[in-house]
Amino acid sequence: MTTSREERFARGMAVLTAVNGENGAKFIDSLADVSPELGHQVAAWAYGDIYARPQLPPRDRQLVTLGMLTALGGCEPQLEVHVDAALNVGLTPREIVEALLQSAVYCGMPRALNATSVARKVFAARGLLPVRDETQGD
Amino acid sequence: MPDASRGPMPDDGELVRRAVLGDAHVDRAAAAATEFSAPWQEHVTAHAWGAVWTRPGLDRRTRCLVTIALLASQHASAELAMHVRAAIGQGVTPTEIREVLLHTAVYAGAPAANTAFATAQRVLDELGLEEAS
Repeated sequence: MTTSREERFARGMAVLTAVNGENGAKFIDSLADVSPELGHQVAAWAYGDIYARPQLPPRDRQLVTLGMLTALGGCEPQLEVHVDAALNVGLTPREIVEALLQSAVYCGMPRALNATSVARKVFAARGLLPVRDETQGD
Repeated sequence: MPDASRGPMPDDGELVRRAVLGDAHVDRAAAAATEFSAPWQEHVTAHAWGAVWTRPGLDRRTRCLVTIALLASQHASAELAMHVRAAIGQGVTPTEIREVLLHTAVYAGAPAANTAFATAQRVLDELGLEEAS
């Protein structure tokens, strides 16, 4: 199946907007004066070719994205976008912090702590604190 | 499945580790442990498995997918092979594993995805699983 450059971009923008709302288009536009091609590829490749694939649902894609961004380290701006996106696709704060706790085992405490600080910032902005943990006693 | 309401107990780590990685793997690791490495085996069972994998906040299938993403993005091939095998055992499909690895390329780059695909393919071949559709 061949898809034109414009079709891939349009498909990607639709997915990006569905997940990130109006911030998605703002982000792509923000690259216009320095690397419009990078903006194009974020939309066309990441969202149009990968996020659009139906074999993994949006909530699983956001969880694995949070895991990777945490493991890579130094991706706090992207983590902020994807914690917000994770909430938008229906994940709960509890599920998000649980994925970050899982990350601590595989990439160490510092990166998990940094990611969790970003999550707290996004939860606070959306009025979602405190996060309840039913495994803790009263 | 451990009873989440009472919180993790020391033996839960051993139970979950065996349920996810399989008895053969855990028995092999235990048999290979030396006086030097035994504390590590006890530690990984108690902390990684007992304190995290036992928690109710995410189901095991989802923990498998997130773990594969974490390992693939760090080029941790030996651990990835172990967790691809574990994921299949938990009911994750080859198609879902492929999707996570395609997704890895966007965030961790083509070399990470390339290495992870080679590792996952080897495990799927060893398990005699058909290619993902």
